[in-house]
Amino acid sequence: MHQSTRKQWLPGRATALAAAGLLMVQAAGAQEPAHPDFSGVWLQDQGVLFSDPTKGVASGRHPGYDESKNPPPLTPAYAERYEATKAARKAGRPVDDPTANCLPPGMPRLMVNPFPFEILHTPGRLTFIFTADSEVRRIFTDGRGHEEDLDPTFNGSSIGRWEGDTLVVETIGLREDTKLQSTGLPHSAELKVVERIRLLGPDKLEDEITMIDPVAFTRPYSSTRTYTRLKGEEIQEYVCADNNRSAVDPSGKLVK
Amino acid sequence: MRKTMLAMAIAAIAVSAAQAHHSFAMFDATRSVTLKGTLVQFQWTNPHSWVELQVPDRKGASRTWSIETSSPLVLKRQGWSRSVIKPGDRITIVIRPRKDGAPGGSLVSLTTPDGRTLLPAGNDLPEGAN
Repeated sequence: MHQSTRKQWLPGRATALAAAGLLMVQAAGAQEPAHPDFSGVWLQDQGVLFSDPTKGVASGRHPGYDESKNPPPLTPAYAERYEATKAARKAGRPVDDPTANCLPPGMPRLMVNPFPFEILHTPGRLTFIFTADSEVRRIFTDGRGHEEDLDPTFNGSSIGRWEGDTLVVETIGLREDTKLQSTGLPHSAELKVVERIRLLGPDKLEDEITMIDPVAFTRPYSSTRTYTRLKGEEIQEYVCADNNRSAVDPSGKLVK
Repeated sequence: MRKTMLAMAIAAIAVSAAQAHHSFAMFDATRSVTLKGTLVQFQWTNPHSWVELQVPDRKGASRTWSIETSSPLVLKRQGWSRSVIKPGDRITIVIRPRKDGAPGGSLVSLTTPDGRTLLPAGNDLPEGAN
C-alpha cells in the first residue's frame, strides 16, 4: 500500500531523494534483499589483543600492553591457567601458543591477526581469505543451520543472517586447544563466537566480536574491532612452515 | 686486524616486547646488545626473516649470530626489501639477546653499510604479535 502511494507521489517530484526511496522499496520487494557489499581487502586497526584494543597495527612502534583496558572475565580456574601461562613466558618459556609451531590461530584470533584478509561476498555466503597460511572462513547466509554433532575445528562452523545492514554470524564447533589471542588467553570447548559485522563507511568495516563461554568466562566477553579497506593491495603468500626456526615443545623449549 | 668490539649495553626497557606471530619469550626484553659484523645470509622468509651475522670477538675468532625479525609482509611496510642487505655487507645490529646465552636475538634495529637504519614493525608489540 505504501508502495502505490509512493508511486503516485513520485512523478511530481523527481528528486534524487525520492529516487533513492523508490530503489529501497524495489530492493525490499526482490527475492534476495539487497545487502551491503563487504567485498575487498581489509586490515584491522586495533592491534592483536582483545584485552587491549588500543594498540594500532600500522604505526609500527608500541608500548607494552595493558589488559585492564578490556580485562577478560575469566572464571577462577581459567584465570589460574592464564596466570601460569604468563608466568612461564616471563621465565623464558613460550608455552601455550600453537601458532609457534605453525598451527592455525583459529577463531576468533583470526579476526585480530595483524595481516590483511580478503572478503569475497557472493550469493548465499561470504568467504574470508586470510594472509597467514591462506586460512579460510566460510560464512553461509543461505538459510542453512549448523551441522549436527560438529567435529571441533580451528575455524569452526559459521552461519550468518542479516539484521538490516548488519551481518550477524554465529560460530561454534571450535577446538579447545587454540588461544583467543597471542598472550595465551584460554577458552573451553563450549566457546561460541557471535559477530555483528557492518559497514561504517565505504572503506571501514566494523566487527563487534562477542565470546560466550560458560566454562571459561563469567559473562560474555566483547571487543569491537574496525578494519580499513586497503585499495589496490593484493594478499601476499605466507607459508608458516617455510622457515619456522622457533618451533617449541610443550614445555616451551626450542626444538632445534 | 680491525678490532670490532662486541659492545653490550644493558638497558632497562619498560616494555614487554616482542614481535613474532609466536611468543618471543626466549629473548630478554630488558637488555640490548649491539653487534657489528658481516652479513652471511639474509633469510627473507615466513613466518619470520632471519639475519645471519658473522661477528668477530676480542680474540680474533668469530661466530655467527642468528637474529630473528618480522615477516617480509611486515618488513616491506617498514621500507625493507629482500635485497636491502647482501652477503658481505658490514652491518650494525641492535638486538634483544637470547636468555639462554646462545648467539642469537630479536632485531631492534639494523644499520646498513650506507648508514640507513631499518626497523622491524611492532618492535614493542605484545608478545606473539606478528
